[in-house]
Amino acid sequence: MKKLSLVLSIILFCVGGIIAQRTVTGVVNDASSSPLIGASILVKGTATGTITDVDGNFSISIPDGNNMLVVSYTGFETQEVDATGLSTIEIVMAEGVVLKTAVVTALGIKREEKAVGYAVQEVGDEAITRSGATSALGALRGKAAGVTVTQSSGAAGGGQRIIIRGQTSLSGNNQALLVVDGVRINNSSFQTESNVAGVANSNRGMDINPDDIASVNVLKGAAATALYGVDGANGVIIITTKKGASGDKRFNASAGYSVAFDRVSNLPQLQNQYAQGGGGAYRNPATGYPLSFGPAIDTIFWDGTDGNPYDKNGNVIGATEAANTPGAIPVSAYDNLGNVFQTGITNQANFSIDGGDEDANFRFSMSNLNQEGVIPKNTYERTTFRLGSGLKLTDKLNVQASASYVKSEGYRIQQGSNTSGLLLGLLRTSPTFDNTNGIDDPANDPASYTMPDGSQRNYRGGGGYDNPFWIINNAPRIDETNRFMGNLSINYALDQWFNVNATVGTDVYSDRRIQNFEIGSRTAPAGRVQEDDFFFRNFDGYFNVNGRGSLSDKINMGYLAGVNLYDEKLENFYTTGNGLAFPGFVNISNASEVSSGKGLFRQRNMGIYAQVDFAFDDFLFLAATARQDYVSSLVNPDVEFDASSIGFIYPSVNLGFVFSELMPKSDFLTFGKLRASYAEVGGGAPSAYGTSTVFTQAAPGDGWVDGITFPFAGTTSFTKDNTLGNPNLVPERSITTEVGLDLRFFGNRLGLDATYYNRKSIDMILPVALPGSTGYTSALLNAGELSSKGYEIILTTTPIERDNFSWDLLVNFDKNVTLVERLAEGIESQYLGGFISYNIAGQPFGVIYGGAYQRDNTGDANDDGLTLPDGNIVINDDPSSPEYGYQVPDASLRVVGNPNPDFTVGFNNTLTYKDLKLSFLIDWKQGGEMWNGTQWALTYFGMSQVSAENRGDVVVFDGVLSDGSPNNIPATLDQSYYTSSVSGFGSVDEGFVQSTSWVRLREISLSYDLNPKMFSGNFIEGGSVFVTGRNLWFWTPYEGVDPETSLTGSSNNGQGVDYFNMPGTRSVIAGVNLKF
Amino acid sequence: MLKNKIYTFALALIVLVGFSSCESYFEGINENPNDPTDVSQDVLLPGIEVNLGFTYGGDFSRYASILTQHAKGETRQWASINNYSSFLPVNFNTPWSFSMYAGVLNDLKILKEKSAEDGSNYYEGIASILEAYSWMLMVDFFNDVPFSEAFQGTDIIQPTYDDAASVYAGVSTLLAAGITKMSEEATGRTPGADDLMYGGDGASWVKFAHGLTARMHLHQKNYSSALTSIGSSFESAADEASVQFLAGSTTAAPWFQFNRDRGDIQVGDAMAALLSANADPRESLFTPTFDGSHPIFIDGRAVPLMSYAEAEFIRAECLLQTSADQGDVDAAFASAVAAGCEKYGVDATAASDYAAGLGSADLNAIMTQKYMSMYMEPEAFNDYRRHELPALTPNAGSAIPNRFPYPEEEILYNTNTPAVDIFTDKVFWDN
Repeated sequence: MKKLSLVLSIILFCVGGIIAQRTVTGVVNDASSSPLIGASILVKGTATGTITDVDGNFSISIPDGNNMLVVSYTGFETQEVDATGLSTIEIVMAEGVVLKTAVVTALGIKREEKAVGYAVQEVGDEAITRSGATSALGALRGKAAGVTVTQSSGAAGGGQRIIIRGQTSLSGNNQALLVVDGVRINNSSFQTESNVAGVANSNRGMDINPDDIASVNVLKGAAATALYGVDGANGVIIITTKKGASGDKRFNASAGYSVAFDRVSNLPQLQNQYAQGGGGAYRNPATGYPLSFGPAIDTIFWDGTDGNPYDKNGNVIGATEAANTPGAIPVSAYDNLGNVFQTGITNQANFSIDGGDEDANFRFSMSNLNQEGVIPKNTYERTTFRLGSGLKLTDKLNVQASASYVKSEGYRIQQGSNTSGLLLGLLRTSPTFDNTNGIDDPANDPASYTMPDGSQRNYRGGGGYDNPFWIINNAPRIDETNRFMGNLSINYALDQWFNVNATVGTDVYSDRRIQNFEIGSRTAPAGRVQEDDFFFRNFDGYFNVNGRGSLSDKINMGYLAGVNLYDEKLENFYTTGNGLAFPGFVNISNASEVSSGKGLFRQRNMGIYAQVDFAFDDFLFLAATARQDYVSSLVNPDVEFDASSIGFIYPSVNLGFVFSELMPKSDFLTFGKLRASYAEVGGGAPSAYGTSTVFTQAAPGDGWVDGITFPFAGTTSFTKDNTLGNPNLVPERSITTEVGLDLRFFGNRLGLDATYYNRKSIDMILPVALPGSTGYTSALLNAGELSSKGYEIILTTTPIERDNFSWDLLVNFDKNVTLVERLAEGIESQYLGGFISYNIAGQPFGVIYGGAYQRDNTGDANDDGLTLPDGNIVINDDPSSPEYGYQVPDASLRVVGNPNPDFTVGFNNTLTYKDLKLSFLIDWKQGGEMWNGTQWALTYFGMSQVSAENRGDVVVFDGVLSDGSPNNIPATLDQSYYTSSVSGFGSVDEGFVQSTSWVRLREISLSYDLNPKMFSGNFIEGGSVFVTGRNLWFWTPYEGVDPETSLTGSSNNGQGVDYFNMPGTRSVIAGVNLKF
Repeated sequence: MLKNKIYTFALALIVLVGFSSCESYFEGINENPNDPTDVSQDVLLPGIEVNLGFTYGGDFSRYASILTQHAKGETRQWASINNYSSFLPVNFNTPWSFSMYAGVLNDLKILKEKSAEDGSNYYEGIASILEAYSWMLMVDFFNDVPFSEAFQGTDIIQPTYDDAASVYAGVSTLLAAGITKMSEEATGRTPGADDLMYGGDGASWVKFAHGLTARMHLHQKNYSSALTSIGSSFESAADEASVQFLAGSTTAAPWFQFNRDRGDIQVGDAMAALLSANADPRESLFTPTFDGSHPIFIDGRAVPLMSYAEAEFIRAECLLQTSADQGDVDAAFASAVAAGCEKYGVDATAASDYAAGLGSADLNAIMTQKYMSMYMEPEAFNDYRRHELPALTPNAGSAIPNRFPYPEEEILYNTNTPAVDIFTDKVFWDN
């Protein structure tokens, strides 16, 4: 870094001679005073010309006696301006077609939209704040083509996953890079427990205060992100924050408040007809019997006696006995689901003050989000403070700086595949057992979830799974994150050809978590405390030189060169205390066995890059970039450092051709551009240290139980790691071509922007599963190949435009197919997460790979052993088999589902009538499947609706017998079937893979702009009030919770898995914003 | 022009800064500070022994005990494992890969190589004996296994499968080598407290190795060789090979942890019937539901890799098979039964009274009593396959599986993996 600052000072001090001539300076604006970038200014009749900079400013030398300037800009009427006697001049261009005058491209460089040879899309601040989403990323759903945002859980504080144009990495991070005001911020979501259990963790992108955002620019393809090198390979979300405004007043203030009411949306369909028990016989909770294949509820009675700790209505008796029992009452099913979920309330408040003049500006904001979840006691709170300021030190030197502090806290509830998972115990509970024990406020009264002796009260006699109210009170995850983000940017503009910028940023946070398990919790019956603390710090620095100007009257040119240094450090300290001495004090000091550890993960990248762009006659735009990246994760620490082994250079080129400039002016086609790009980009290893193989602390186990923790009997021990490192890793490479067409018709009433892209990635680094007989279970190899093809179509139109009323429509269509072309030699599958999500060679990314029914052509010559054979299902015709008449399970796993959608469309409508605005977003996702593991398990337990609606019916399953004849064996849909190997908890998943297509009213918002006149004489200058509904309605064939869910959370690549996931929510939000 | 020079200079500097600072900027950044890249023998050995005890007394015990009907799976996954329908490859990934090949066996290979290199003969001997034990375990449950080409990482990504008999030949060599090493004076680094099984005592390891040699011969029906070896093996329960687990929640024995964390499995009907039929002094210990008082299910259990009772039953069976004097057979049988009772805490007098009451020993009596004494030990499944005694009725269908299936991951990632039918294919000595 010393060397960097040296460069900076040399440049600052050496720059001297400025050629003094008579010049005219000025600004070129459109009718609404927005500056036009790259407008061409030519001295009439000469070759002397210039173009405007990003602020619309220009400076031009005028020869004596020649005062006419010709100003032209695509989409605007060319005009001639007489500059006689003027030294400064403001030129207002009359509108032809309105193009966005500037878009933000890589490294925050603003360019004219027409010049860009790749797709970029911007989402404005209003779309974000009106969405009612509690996080800025959540607000992007449906608003930009090619951007997929998945909410992982409906729990308060649950994270989102953001993917642009499909997956780019087989095993590493696939989420987009977040860049705020020029520097990257971390968007991790660390796991404390297994990726299928634990709690809904936040992703750190949630720390951004949505109210601080001025705009979000989405850089989608490799050409757009080329200057970010390896880090931009997954696409880049560029967030520009609001800045202090210089206006008539020196200060402006705004304040906003909203309140949201959340309810769970879909819940799994449970049966309420059958009691706890097996084979039609009732088994009481004390037996611990897990299933609900007992008698029909309408045939049994409570005897009304006192003293049954499991039920206030007494013991269950049959009809005959009830006839002789005074006080016997018919049993009715308890509403265990309804008794847990509540209306969640989210309060959100924000305040900001800003101001400035020509030389200085500032903006200060603070916000608070306080979310109470739909599950009692589940909370998430976020408080943000941010101060940003800009200072113009001289005409040429200006400084921008910002600092923000964010604190977030959560009280989170266990979920997923986990005996302490809330839905797991809740949904398995028999309808004849009342988790609340008849108590009105069960979440706050231990009598609901504890027995008189203090042990746990649940439907399995204290075994099995935790009572939901036990979980809420006795197994919480409590966490607190404190985060500082700051950046400083110094800009020195010598002239339009030479602009030096140095930007540094840092993002520092601590994320401290405590997971408690009180004695008696099913996950840790002896009690457990897990303290898991993360300390993250990054540094991101850029030093750039850029400039822009005219080479001749026909050719404009811009360039940029720079270096980027990135340094990241993550420390993780964890301490687990097992075996609490006494209840009521869940603290590490109460643990009888304490083990702890530490992890330190460092990564450093360096990139050197350059970009040059040319504009020919204002219709043809060509840009090229090159970036050389060095990535520490590829360094082999055991050999002498060799920069060439980790460095790699990537080119990109993009072309924009505004063909409408060459056509006669037309009222029909007002603007037309063809764009094309080619880009190569690289990638490092998925994580640090993959180049060496280590020994790890011994931890014998078998996946069924907790296993053994060392130190054991006073000795520690290490075992050779199961993952074989690879000292010879080379960078991943991907090659992307993209073409696009941007058409505007009828002025600006109709716009169509279509993009096609094709990306091929090779040498993908992935942990390849090895047969254990190699001594390892996986190795990192440079072997994978991915391909991605897709279309994006953006339609913008104003179907109705009247004086008082208008209707604007933005449609985003997106289709992406990402295929795993190859994993490694001889390797056909790669496990991703969530039990059942795999990459399979030749299949789409992250398919559902699980058990299937055997077909009559299973194992024949055409059977590849991976995909589902198309034959008839084989029926078990061995009369001695307990599964006689049932389907036969296939011995091999098969691709049984694809979680990736066929396409998605977002319809963004805005209807404006005077000051009233109604906007709504319809979000349609076609295709995509999920493994309904919840239903799979609940069918075994006799709790799913499917296991009850036809219970007892005799059917003949579709299929063939071993001799090929059609099946004719009757089978009864009873406990035996629903608990067989082809049903719930069996080896066949095929029957539980369901479509997650949906059509949903993602957002509907009614807002009213408060007219300043209403507050005349008051200090209020305006504002708005709004009511927004999120997710108020959706349709889906999926038989479970809202299928927008992910068991594995936001950071895991294994998606499409539902196993007792927290249900999603629907919300109504009301709010007011005022300006002062 | 001056300005052009400045631009060129600045651009050149950027490039220069980039290249020159590269080395120091990246130095050491990718060195893993969290885990060692090499460890000594005393750091490897405890994990190997605990892992082997946890695997033998955990996964292998659970699956084998379903087959021997020592146990029955009642709920969830274990209900369909109990009726053999879920006796599927996918369930055997962990014991095969995580526990054995990429666990115990790979660590043993490293331990042995390291010790051969620095002349630590005791560590080398222990590694040889435990390797022999592990390979025998693998062959007994999986038959042909990768042996000569195993542990080559990405150099041999799909090891070939060695004939089971040749692996047994390798086992024999390993045992002989282990006996030789452990009979020498200790040199180099010497095991002590880190040897959780025998505290580095060479004589105890030699006895264990002889016991294993006897087990190996027994499987192959070489009864006289087995009888010879067993004579140099355990002399009392104090000699037996076991891994002592502890009372802590993450140091507890595997069955205790399974009952605590999962449940799903109960005492098998065949075992319960035998206990009650013979007025067995162990009956009261083996309650039909699993609770903490059951001797197999306590947290601080010593999981036997090979027990004194097993050695005594080998002696009794070999005497019978080699047509020894019936009095010697009966005496050995009585001693074995008594050892089998004392193993579960029956006092010595009650144990010998019970043994004396059983009368003269035939093969059925020996195997039935051995079956009860080897409760939940995977070796009991080897005994069952050798003689099909005591007679068992399949839990479902018409046959009890003869072996474990190869694991899913091996089938998927190693095309050399043989296709097997667990109901008809047998391990090589099972004929």
